[in-house]
Amino acid sequence: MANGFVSLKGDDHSKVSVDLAVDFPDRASWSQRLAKLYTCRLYADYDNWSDTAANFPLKAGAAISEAEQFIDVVRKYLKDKFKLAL
Amino acid sequence: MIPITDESRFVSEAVVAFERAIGVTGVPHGLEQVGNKVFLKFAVGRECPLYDNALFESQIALSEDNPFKGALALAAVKTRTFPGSIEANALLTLLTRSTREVSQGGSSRGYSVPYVPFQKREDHQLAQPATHIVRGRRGVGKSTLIRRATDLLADGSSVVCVLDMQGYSTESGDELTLDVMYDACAGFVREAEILSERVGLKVDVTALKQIVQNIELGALNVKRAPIIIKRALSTLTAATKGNVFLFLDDFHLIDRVSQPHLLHALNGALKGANGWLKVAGLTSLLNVYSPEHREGLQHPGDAQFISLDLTLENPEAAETHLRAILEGFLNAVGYRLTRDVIPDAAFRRLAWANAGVPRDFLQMFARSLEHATRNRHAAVTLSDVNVAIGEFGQQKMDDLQKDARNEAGLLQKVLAKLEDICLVQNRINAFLFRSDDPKEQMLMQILSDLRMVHLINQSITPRKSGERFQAYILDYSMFTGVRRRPNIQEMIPKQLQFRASELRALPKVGPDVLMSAMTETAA
Repeated sequence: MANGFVSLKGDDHSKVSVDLAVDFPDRASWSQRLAKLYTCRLYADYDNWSDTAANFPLKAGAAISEAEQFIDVVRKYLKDKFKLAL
Repeated sequence: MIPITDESRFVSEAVVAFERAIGVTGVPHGLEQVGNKVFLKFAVGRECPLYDNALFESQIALSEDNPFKGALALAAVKTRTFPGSIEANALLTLLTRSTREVSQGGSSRGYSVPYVPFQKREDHQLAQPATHIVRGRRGVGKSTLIRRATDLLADGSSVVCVLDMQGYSTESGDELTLDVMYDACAGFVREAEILSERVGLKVDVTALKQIVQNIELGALNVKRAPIIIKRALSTLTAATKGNVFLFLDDFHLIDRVSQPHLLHALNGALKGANGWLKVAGLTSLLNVYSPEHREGLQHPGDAQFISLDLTLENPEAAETHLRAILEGFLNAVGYRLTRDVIPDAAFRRLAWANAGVPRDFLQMFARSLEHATRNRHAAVTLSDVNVAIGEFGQQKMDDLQKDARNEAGLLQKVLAKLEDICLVQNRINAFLFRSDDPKEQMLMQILSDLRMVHLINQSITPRKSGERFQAYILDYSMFTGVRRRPNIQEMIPKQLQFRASELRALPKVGPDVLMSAMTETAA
């Protein structure tokens, strides 16, 4: 793997936007897109009330689409760099 | 919970990092609880690639214990006008950083705007294993092209060295040759070691290091230097299975007589060793071959030309190129090239007044934007552009002194003559020029390279057939701003090109005018 770790303390989510591999495509852009997904996840888990819906930076459909796009990019990256098929 | 004192330290660290990355201070920010995590959010006008990059770079730079590592975000706040926005402020810094005249050194830190190619993919052409001479006016993009070519070469097995020739402008003869060879060889050693580490290849640079040492000790004969360097480079390229590239930027700043001799020696060191020279400079001040001494680079045998000029001969192409460049900068801060940023009339004025030269255009756009911000305009207006054009004149005169030190007096005399004929006698900013004398043609070419006159038509026949003239306009800095002259008729094409009848009516400047300037200077 380019960079991987396991954390049991629940602090690993914030690393996703900082620890992308150096040669990951559009790294800065994906860093912010992942940070938004992370924010969505935090609202969904901790502040998911009827009056907090406007706080979500992405609507549910857009968040799913972003996540799917990220998975596609990761698949291609791993395949191109490490010949790994997921 | 973070203790209050620590929190303010962590916030301060993050704010400083973000503001440094975008080049703007005083960005409003605040803390926001998101689920079980506190985020630090920056209030900006809109999301954009520049901020994405800044947030990413800032978070990487934060200390490991900073809780905002991975918890920095933007909060979009509506702004009323583009000139008054944080994005406009960030754009000014980006323009300043991007229009510095630097090609040497690695990629600068911070966000860089995507490269806008010229029409013939000159960047890919320059990255080919061949010797090239890149020619163009000042500010047309020669150094940018070199940076782009070195970026293209960065991933391969090439060893690349870029030298900014300004540092050698006071030297000549053997001293110059040895100094350039010293820096080139030291650069090759450094880059070969980086390549060796990157691709895991063992590359022996002992011979090159020895050359560097011998030059330093004065133990290398300048006549033998090319062949000794060539042997070392042959060994290097055989090991890397790649090429060696030596880029010489602003080569026109080298003593004119020494230019062919230096190129001859460097080409001798590279040719046949998979080594290639890339020389860039102002068209009229380059002297790449001396027929008298049979030294230098001969076209097309030794080197190919790459010409970068998009002149006002084709205003539409020049304008399209500048539009694409400005669009790239605006996209970086989340804007498009619309009337909310700069109305079409102001844009065209800016493009025309800068005669298609990208660096001048961007610098003058930045100055126009500053005026628009100061005057609280809703967008960059025509009056902001006009003020900026006038202020730019002194910089061009300074460039003239710097680039054409030995001929500055003569050039200023010629300009004074042109000013009198066009602006005083005929009250128009354009003229027709004809001369069969190579020295006079060269003078006009130098003025064009230094952006004091701009070619608008290469060949017009105003009187009898066979008598061909070139049509030029004077630079706007000669009759606007502090040198403002009222009621000057401006030559601006009503359609995409000038009509022949308009051009034929222009005042004519013949050999007598330039001759008298030369005589006065000699006296």
